[in-house]
Amino acid sequence: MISAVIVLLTVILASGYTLLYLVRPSWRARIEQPKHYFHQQLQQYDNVSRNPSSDHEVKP
Amino acid sequence: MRESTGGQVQQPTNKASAELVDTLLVRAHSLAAFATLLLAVVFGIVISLQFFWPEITSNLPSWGRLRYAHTQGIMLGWLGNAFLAFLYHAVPILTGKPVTSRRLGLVLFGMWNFAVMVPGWILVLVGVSQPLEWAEFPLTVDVLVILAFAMAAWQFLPAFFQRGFENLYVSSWYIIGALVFTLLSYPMGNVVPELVPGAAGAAFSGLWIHDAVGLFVTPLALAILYFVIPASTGRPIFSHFLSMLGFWGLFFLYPLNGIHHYIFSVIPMAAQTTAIFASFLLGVVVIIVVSNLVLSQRGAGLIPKDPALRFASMSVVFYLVVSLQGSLQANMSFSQAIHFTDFVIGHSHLAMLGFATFAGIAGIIHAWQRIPDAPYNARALDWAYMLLVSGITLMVIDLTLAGLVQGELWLQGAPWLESVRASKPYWIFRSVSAIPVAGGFVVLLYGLVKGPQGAGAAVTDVSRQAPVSPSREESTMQDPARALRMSYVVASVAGIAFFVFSVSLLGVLPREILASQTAVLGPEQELPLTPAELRGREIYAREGCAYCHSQQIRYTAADMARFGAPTLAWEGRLDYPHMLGTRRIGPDLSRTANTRTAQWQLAHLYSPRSVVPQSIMPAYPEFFDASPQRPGREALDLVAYLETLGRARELAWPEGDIAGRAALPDDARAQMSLNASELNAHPARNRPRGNAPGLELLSVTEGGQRLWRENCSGCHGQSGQGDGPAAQWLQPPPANLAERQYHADLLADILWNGVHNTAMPAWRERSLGELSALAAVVRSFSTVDSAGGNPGQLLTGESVYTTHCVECHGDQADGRGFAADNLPVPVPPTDFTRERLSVAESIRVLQNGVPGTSMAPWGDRLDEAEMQAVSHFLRSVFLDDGTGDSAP
Repeated sequence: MISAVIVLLTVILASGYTLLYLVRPSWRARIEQPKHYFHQQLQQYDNVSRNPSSDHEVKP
Repeated sequence: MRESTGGQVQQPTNKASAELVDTLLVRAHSLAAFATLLLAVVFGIVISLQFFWPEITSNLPSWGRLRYAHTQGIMLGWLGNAFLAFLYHAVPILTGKPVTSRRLGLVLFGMWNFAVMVPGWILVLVGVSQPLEWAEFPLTVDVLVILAFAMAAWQFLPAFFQRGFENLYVSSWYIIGALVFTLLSYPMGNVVPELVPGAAGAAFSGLWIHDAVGLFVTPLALAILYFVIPASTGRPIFSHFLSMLGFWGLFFLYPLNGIHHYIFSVIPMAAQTTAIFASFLLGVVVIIVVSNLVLSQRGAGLIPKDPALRFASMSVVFYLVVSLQGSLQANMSFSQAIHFTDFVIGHSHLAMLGFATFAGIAGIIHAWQRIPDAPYNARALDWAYMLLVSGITLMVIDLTLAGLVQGELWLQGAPWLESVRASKPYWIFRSVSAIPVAGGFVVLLYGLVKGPQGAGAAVTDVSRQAPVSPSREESTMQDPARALRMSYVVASVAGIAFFVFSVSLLGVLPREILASQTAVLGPEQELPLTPAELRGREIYAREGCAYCHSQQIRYTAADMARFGAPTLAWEGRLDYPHMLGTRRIGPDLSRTANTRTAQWQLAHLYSPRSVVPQSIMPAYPEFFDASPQRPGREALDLVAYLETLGRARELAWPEGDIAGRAALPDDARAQMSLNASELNAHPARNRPRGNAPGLELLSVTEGGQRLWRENCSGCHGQSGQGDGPAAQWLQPPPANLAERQYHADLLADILWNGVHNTAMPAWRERSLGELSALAAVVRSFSTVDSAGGNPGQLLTGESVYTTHCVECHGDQADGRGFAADNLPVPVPPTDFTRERLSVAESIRVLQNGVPGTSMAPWGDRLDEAEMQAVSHFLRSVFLDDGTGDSAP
């Protein structure tokens, strides 16, 4: 019984999350955005660590 | 926190993170990681040698203690330090904020290595430990571990809180999750089993075994993979959506997996099925995670150039395999076949030494490459990669095959030692495969400490390529929905709630069910251990006996046939902590009471191979004063404890089981145990004589001689003269078979039932064909002739016999005298109608008696002629069945 509840809950939650991702472009974009932020952080880190004299401040 | 507004993805921070990374702490933890790794690997290699070189640990701390040091070294020493090194590199980049403080970092470093690892290792090696899988350091060290985890949380979490949780990258989620959940689960797994006895405590142990991997190791390893892969490829991961789906899936499902370590145990079936379902679902989630990670490497090639990415890539492969293995192992049918075998050891090596270690290496290399003045030797790293991949792959394949072989033999009911013998080639190969593994780690360390300074920076070029623009859709998004921000908060709260749910469902609830079963089935009066037995239990725990011998007979046909009635919950109600065990290198010991004599146990502890030539058990001569006949207190205590295993159930039997059947008629599994055909089915246990099957009359064969060497020669000697290495320590001494002739019925009886109150066990795990072959070997040793005495001797002998011997040996000399059942030492008197001794042996027995039996010396009461006469008389009553003539 409890196993069935767990399976059901997991499937419902995952389906809901997936459905939102598929039907709401703004959510989709928002959910994917962290990977781009992170990527820029990485690039900036590598650039600065290779060239310590460069500007450390990130312009908005 | 700034928001993205049309077309530009902006940094969530305002300061370059390069200067925030504390490279000193990255270096310190990386080097500590390798130092602890190499030591842990040495411990591992030594314990692997024990399997085919059993004396290897004779001058070292015992196998069990080294085993404790091995696993704790890998998890806390190696992986703990590797993860901390990575966190000092990653957290400032992920958050744009510094970690809390360098001073705290230095204190944490000192704490982790010099207050946890060094004392923890020393303590377990000197015998202060707890016998709990992945929780072997003693409670005093556990307190320091918890403190260290709290310090780690304080060091790294504030940066995330300062940054804010919006647009948090998946690695950040994993790091936060690991730090929070480990802090919750570590005390649960390390402390609760000391407070909750038996199977109920084991449920918490099971949770921790899986939480250690699922909530500490896996999240941090995945944090590294999600960090290193995009950093090395120069491209963002394939899908952040999938990564978050995986994150929440893993954090919801991992804690529910724990009980799958105790499938078919007494832990309630509802908890077991929950764990099994969760394990299958977890396999699905892992496929999603792995697919995302693989797609994130698109374009990097099959064997990436960057060593960090190469290790990360291999880690992903290992992760997929080990996770699918895990799901498969939770399957009940498969569990019957491979549980307790080396298959599980292969699985854990693949998880910790494959997946997690490769991720840890990827994290260290990645951070190391970015330390400007760090030495770096790319060629050495290439070699290390090849050595490690080949070594670990071979090791895991080898252990997997060994497990399948062991499982098959156990299911078939093959004798235990057959599985040991069949495993030896695999065990040797496992140790051989450790050579490239250990070599790989040494070369890896060399590659990071010897080489041109700053050479690692060359690989960072790729990540300095032009940034990948987000898709148009991603760039034109609106202000983030408040609901989405809230969803993360809700999910975080739900995650913690789910952890509490898992502990309640799989820990607290089973405890209640087991307590109620115990209340109904357990005898009202508990049978507490005596002080000596308790001391013995502590020795059993500190030497790691539970890591080779389980104390749970599972609810399976194979276990019931081999060991007897499955273990009921109440049998472990005084076990703090439980000793259920997760591995069987030796047989289960749940029903050890009354299975072997104390002398046999002492000889076995002092010199295992003296009584079991094929045994791979470590010897414990340090418990003795140079001989099993002079046991020290530790030996006596340990044997006293072994004699308690199964005692309470045996004392309650059969009335207790009868009452139990009526009390819980609807509990199918309890009924399964209560209706078992034998409470103690241990094949070696002595049974009353009679009902032995007839054996075939064979000639001596090579197979029979091999059986003799492997099973009997330890006591009876190679040529059957009762002069094996263990003979000097056993009373009564093993029979000198050269001086004896047996009737076929009696020989079959002795082999089938053993000899009560002697070290002669029953050999019921052997087939009738094997017993027939053994009987042929026994007969072949006999040099006894059939020459009789003269009529005068026989008359005198009968008179002496009637006067002195008949009360024990009986009117018919068949060992059934009226006193036979009430002897002070209850070893059955000799049945001379079915056992004939040589004259010389008879006189020796008459003169000296038989130590360890009620046969007294008669040398001072009978003269030489009387002894000769009674010897001839006894030889004359032998019912010769002619089988002695068949011996070559």
